[in-house]
Amino acid sequence: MTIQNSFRMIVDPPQAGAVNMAIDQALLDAADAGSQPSSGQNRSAVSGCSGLTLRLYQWHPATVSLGYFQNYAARHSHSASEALDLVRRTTGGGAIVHDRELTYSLTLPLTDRWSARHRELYDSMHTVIIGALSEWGIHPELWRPGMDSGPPPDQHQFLCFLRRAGGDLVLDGQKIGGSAQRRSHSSLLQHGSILLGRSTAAPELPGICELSGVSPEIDELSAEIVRRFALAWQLVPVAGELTLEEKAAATSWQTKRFGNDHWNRNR
Amino acid sequence: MNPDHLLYAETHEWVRVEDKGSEKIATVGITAHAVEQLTDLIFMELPPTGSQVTAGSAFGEVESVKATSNLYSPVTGEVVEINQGLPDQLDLLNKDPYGAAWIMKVRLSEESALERLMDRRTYDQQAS
Repeated sequence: MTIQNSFRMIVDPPQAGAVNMAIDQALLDAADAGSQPSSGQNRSAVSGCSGLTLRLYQWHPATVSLGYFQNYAARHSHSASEALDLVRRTTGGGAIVHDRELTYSLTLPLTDRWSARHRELYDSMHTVIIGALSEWGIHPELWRPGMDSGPPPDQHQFLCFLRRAGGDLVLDGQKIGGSAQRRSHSSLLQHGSILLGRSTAAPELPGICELSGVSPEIDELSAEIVRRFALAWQLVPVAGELTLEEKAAATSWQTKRFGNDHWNRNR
Repeated sequence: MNPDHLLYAETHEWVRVEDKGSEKIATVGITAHAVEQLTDLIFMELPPTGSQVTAGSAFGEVESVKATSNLYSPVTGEVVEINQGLPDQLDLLNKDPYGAAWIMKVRLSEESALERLMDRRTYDQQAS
């Protein structure tokens, strides 16, 4: 095996929303095609890699993340989550209540941010998640327009999990997984969310637990997603953490952006 | 505008430069190829008139159903006019990307960035 055939995997403990989003922004910066860590710890886990990082994490305290273009005032339309902390993502889509939920971020260099090929990443990652959940006898499928018998879903719903887009993960007709991308000049961040269970802050959304009667352990599910991802991408996972440069960048992003009301209430 | 008479950035923006007295004004848009690749645009956010843009730096953002992307300026100067109606009529980008869907007009403060732009034939080869 060569180190070029590896990717960095990070499984983080639950952290505040501003911290989580700042880390992903730092990873997006670092995935820039021209950047390589110059020094510091964990260099072996990063330099020479495919440049790809798969990070899995949760949120504490429970937090609402707004889609990049959502209006802040829209949160008042959803009383159940109104008291939660809030952070604005750089990725688009609707609001997510990060409570009984698992988030992933995938960051990688790219050469043409407009390329339609990047859309394949949604299905690729969601297929990995389908495979992982199958280990627990849970079998979601990729949503396609026309699958539902009722009226088309309202794409302006406040909550992401009440919207539908091609490739979303659905179980018994309910959305239990979705992803969205932020493309910068030469790197890409894909955020995704897996709804594990119903939250009191979003009682209208059943999760995998309610729909299947099964509750996979988070650590085991995360490990299975990493294993399936490695198989699908034919890359070797290398457990890692942030480099010193990335930690510094994350701290900076947390201060100037994600922990800042000017950003979070921008629209 | 005739696409054959425009200049193109490798980041898929187009530029048309016109002399207005002693000034050069660049009209900027995004190419049909970029619009096709993005698909299903939902939002577009543009800079205010009077702001400064720099070649190679982000000046606005677009969101499609599943992706948010920066728009990068192919020129350097001051934004003198914005296509204000465009964010509310994003289908114009599909119908007339080189005409009614122009994005901004920039008074150039320097012209060196123009030398890095391509003609249509070179751009088409790169985009194909």
